[in-house]
Amino acid sequence: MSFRGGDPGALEQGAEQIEQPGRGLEPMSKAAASAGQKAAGASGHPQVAGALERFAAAWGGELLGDAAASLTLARAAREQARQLRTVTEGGAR
Amino acid sequence: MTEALIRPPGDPESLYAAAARFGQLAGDASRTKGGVLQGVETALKTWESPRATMFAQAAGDMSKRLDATATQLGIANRVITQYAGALAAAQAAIDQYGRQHAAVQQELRQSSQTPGDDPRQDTTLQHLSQRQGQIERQAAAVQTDLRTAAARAAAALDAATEVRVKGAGGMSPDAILRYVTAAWNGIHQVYRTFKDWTDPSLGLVSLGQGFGQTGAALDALNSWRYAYDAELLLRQTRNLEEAKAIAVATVHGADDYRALRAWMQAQEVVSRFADDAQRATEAATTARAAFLDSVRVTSKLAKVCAVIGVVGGAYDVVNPQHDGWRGAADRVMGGVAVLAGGAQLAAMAGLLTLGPVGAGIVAGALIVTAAWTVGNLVWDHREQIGHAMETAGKWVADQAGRAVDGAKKVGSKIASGIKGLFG
Repeated sequence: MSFRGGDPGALEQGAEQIEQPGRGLEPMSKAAASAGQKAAGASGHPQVAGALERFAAAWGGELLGDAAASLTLARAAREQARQLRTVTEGGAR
Repeated sequence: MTEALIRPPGDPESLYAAAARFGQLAGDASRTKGGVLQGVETALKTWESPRATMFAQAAGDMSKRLDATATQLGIANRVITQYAGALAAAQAAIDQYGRQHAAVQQELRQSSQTPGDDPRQDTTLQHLSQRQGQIERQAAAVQTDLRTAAARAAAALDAATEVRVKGAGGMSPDAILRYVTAAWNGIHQVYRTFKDWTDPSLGLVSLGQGFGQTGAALDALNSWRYAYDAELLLRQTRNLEEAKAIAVATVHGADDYRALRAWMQAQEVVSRFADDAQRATEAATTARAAFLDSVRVTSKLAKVCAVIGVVGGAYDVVNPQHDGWRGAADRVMGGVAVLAGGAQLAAMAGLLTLGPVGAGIVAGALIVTAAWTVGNLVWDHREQIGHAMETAGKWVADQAGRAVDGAKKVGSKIASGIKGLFG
């Protein structure tokens, strides 16, 4: 197995690229909840309304989890970059 | 007017609009996945190590989950569109039958009011009455069709809700929601204990309380996203011998180790504890493989990433950088047990001494590390946690509270539990 610590610049760039779309997931989860709520109200049928509410809650929650997951990934990449820089700077001293 | 002729409630236009929104969100989820994966590729371009592998696995899990989300949102788009069409058609048909029925009713009224002996009048009345019955039957059939469409739509949506998410340990979003909210409860419980962890004396009290909450702390730890960090955590149990001394001495302000020994009086127990801890570490090495496997297989931590992600990242936990008394005590995990009191220590030592080297010992070692680790985690990130839990947690609670039936079995408990967190 080979070990490469990574390029801090690339890691930070990757973190940014992950973070940007990841930040959009939380508003998406809210939009899903809102759409589900509106559809439930407009359905006129209690069975459909209930199913819509459950659907929106579940997948909205999933999107929220994915939002946090993406930010966690970005954070992990940043942390790796930080550690690499620390090691590099320490070695230079 | 008969029930069959009552216009079915509902607003097809709003349903169409909501369906379109779900369709749009499905596309957005797919695009988001693409964006995230691009960033992951960039990060992994020059990074290759066990940690990078875990990173890639986590990203892969997330990608699968976003795929599942996009698929199900797309299904919602189609189901709602279809139901909106059925509703619109039913409303139009019922409206039409209603008008026809009213017209026939009018004719009936006129015919019955007209005096005469014409036998054809009876036939006309009979015909009109039959016509009315026919309209009612047709309207009833439309109502039945709509009910069938509603049942199908609800079933399709429920199936889409219950679908197992790949990369999320085969759990459904509903189950994930429950899991995450339960983890939130556990973490918040610990958070409350440790949030005022401002000085050694408070720290001591917190640790004592925290020890009693190790169940919640363990839940949080077991749900950790990065298995690699769990591995590091297990490795740290090796520091138990040194840790117990440093923790007690530092927290209590003892200037030298002799004071500590005098204070402890349970030295023999501690020594046995340390010996057993060493064996626990050896057992942990074996257990680690199983732990990592289960983490990879079930990927349950993927669901808790919502919680853990906002808390701040596992690296901070296993490599804490603190000043002052916590800095020294950071080297401890087992010290927590020592501080928790003689009885608890004896129980712990008893467990370790009496039990075979195996899972029990590992669990014991983890228990004492958990309170300390989570305590530090919470204190360091108390503001983030407070904020994140307030915003995200309230939203989840809100959703859980709104859901009926299926969520009812979970919803009321979760909603009240989560709402209670912020009360």
